[in-house]
Amino acid sequence: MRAYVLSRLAQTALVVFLSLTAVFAMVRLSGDPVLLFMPMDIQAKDVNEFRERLGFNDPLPVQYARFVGGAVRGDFGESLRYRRDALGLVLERLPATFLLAGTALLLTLFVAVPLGIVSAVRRNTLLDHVGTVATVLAQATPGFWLGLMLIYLFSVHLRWLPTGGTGTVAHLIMPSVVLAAFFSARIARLTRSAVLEVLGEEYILTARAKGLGEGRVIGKHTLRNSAIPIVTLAGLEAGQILGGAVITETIFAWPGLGRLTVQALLNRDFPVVLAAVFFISVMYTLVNLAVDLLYGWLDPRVRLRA
Amino acid sequence: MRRLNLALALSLALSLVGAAAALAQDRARTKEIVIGLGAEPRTMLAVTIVDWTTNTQLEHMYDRLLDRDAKTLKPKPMLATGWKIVNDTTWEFTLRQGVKFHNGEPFNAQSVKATMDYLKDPASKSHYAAYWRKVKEVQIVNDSTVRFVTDGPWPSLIDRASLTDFLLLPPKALKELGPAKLAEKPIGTGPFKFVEWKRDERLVLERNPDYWQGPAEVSRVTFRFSPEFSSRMAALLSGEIDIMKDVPPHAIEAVERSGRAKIRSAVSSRINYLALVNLKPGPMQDLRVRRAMNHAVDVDELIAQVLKGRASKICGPLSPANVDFAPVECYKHDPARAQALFREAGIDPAKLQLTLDSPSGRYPLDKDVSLAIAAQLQRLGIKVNVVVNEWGTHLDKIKNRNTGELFFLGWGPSVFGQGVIEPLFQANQTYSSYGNNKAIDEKIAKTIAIVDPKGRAAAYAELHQMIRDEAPWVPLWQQHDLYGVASHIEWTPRADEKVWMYDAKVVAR
Amino acid sequence: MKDLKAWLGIGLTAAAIVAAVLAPWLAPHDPMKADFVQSLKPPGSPAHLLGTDQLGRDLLARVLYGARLALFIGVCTVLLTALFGGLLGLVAGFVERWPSAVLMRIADVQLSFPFILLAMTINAIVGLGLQNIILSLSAAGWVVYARVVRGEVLSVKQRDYVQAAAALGMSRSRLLFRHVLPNVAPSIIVVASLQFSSFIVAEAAISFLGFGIQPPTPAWGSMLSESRDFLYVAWWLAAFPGAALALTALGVNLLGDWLRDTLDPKLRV
Repeated sequence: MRAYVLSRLAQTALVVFLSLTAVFAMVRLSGDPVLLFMPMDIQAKDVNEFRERLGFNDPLPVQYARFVGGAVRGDFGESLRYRRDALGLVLERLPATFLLAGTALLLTLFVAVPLGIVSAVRRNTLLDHVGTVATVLAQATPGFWLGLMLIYLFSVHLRWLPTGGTGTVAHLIMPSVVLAAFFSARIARLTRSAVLEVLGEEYILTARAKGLGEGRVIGKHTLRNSAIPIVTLAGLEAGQILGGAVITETIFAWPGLGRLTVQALLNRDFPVVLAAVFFISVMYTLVNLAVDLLYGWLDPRVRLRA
Repeated sequence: MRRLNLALALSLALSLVGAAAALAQDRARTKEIVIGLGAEPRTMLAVTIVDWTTNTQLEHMYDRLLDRDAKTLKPKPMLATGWKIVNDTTWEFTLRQGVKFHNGEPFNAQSVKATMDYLKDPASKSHYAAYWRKVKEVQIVNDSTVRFVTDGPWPSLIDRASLTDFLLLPPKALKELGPAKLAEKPIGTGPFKFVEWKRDERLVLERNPDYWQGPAEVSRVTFRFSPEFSSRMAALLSGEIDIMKDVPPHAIEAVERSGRAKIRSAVSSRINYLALVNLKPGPMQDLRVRRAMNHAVDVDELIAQVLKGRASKICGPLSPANVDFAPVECYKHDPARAQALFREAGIDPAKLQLTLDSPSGRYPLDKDVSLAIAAQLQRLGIKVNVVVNEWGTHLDKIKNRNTGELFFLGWGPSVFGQGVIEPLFQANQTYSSYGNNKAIDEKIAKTIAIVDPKGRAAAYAELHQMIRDEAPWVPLWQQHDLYGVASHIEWTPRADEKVWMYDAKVVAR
Repeated sequence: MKDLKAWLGIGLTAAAIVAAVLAPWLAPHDPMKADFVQSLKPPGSPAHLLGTDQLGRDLLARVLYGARLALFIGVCTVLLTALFGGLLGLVAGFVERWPSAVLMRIADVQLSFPFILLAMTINAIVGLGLQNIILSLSAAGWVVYARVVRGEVLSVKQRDYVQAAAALGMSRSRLLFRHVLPNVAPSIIVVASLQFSSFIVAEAAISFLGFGIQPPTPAWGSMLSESRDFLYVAWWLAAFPGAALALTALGVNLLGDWLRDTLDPKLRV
């Protein structure tokens, strides 16, 4: 087991390194780094001076080496836009990001999974059909649209909740609901289908024949076995939520990591983009590692090999 | 037990409800203002980064050397009370006495010199070094008199000094704390003091009771950062913010109907134009074609239909808001004349295919205007392909001369001639669409060096006419800046886009 | 009840297909024709049943034509991702060892990429527009298949009857196609039906970020994104494309459910 974990961690380091290299190449190739930070009436020779001073006139391999050397020490350089330590900017965003992501994940787990289970157990009843339609609609509604509708209803019309920002529990409600909505729907549906599959297996019939109570049938035998695809998807979603909640964060002015990354990308602020990708890819691969380890626990027959 | 739960739930709900509703009322009583902005400041240190959002917020904490009059847009005293030209290469400023920085430091000639030294220092990497390149040194005559010695005559120095291009820094704090600390906790002479900056969320300032012009009426200013336009609208309509910029013309009714806010507008000095690119081979290199385009596009219709009347037409690159403005005649909308000119140039409009590059969301309805222009040209049979670019890409394309034959752009604040003409009509300038005209190049070089005001005005008038005749653009309009302002606030927007809460009054309901 | 769901699914999907195919005949106006005088007219007038947008273009026409792009994007991306991702996941789960590890690490790298960076890079290569969207969505979407399929294959492989068949000497390819694939197929179908609708919804998200279908081409997602600026002024610009999007997604999903139910004999309890 330990060998497996160590090997996976080594692979994580490799993944992060590859991600950073790929992002470095893509972002450097996507356009002039200096121009966007300069005022529009600046002279060409001044732009060149800046480029020189910031090291962008050096050949690409030199810049890359400089970047790797710094990254290993945790120094991603200074943000071109804010003139501040890039990694510091990323880390500053973490509390808010985790708060939002965590709340959304909790909502998903405590609403979506039970909904999926109930739908599967009460298959083809009204509850099931209503649940299906509700989950599909939740997915078919673009997040920004749902967010803006909620803002219109609860902030402008009813004045119950603030339109954005952080601070109180009230500020957290709408963003986490919007963030959770889309992901919950997917998880609910997959839960339903996974549970249905397992319910059709012979060992379930056996369990029932043995006279086991419905609760035990569902709880012990069904859930564990249907968990694998659910856990997979949940793992993917967790990573997505952490790095990709940009739309929710934009609509609700939530100071999260997704928004920072996207704005840095659109502003061609390389150091921040690289620092953010570094962080997100570390998080992502660690989450996936956790998911795979969970596979082993859920289904001991799956022997994990490095 | 159940009743207790119910009571708890109810009080929680009520507190949430109460919280939102009480906010606006409270702020009117305590004279606080919340401004909604789309982006946050990039630094708290003045004269380092050129960025409207940053400087608008910094201006509340730092003062300019000279201000501009709200109506005439001409320079007026601020931290400098008088100015004169001593000789061809020297400007002299008399400084105001008795002004203190927020940390108690006195403002004097030393501050001016320290600020210029800071921004010229390569280690500061300040954008403003380029703007002040012509200044060789700042001489201290005495505590309240400074001289700017320039490298060659620079009559427009006074214009630079009356923008946010020279906000004064505290020399002692700069030396003792260093720029990095000041970039987080600023110290200036301005009407408001720094309280806190929660990144990407809000900047909070409070009244400076010792401000030299007298304390502001507003006690507290909060800038809230919300990147999504419709969220800012919602916040304005729900009373969470009091001022918001760039309300589009079609939303005016919604704001006015809400009863919470009104629209206040100012004719901005920022201009929008359609560039006809002559810097690369193509139909736009022919003067007749460019003139034909000017006759083909119906600017009045664009203003009336797309912008709902919220724009002021211009006939050349200098607008009436520009101090160097001289009137020129517009090209009339005349499709027949356009057809004739096209034919003269040997082009059949029905076979002509053009590409129009447009940004999206950078200027009011820029994308829609571009599509409308394409539709207008379609009436003559010209096929126009509108390419919508993300802002960074748009700038890249212009710089690399990679756009289509046409592109849409804005420029501003455009309050003095040199700031508009020098960067936009010469081939070696980054964002120019036109160049390689020796006569114009020479005229520009001569005009910007004329010190005598009468001579300069005449020269700019001639230059303006020359440019108009060359038809490098289809000049469109001056933007109307539409601000949503809460009904209980009295504040008038300005043409130079200065948003300054010192001028605002809160009328408690 | 079950039949009702199936009929609803078939009906909505058919409606979308009909709208897409017959748009040129059903649309009362040219969807790209701008008529400034008619801008922002509310729905209800006989000339413009669903109203007009800010440039005076008829909304009904644009919604009908939008069906074409929606279905096209959905079909292309689902095919690309299912084939690519599913195949890779199948191989990875079945063979395990290093192909599995390599695949999963590639997936990790690609997933930790901010999606918008992917879109921006593809933008630099093919420019904005339809190819950009299909490529970006496919690049982002294949990973779900790969991981889910791999997980399921890993699990199915351990089942008694599969182990038994292997012990009995069944060839690997027969094992793969006879035992593993049928068990994995329902998940693929469900994921595909989920993905279809999420792809056409993702088009809206991409438009929000600025990389969507460019004007004046009508696409539901970009129409929704543009409607943001008019939310408090012209509710119909958001309502009708949004409804079209939601109903189409609903229909396809219900259809997918029905397909899964008919294809999986075990579930016909």
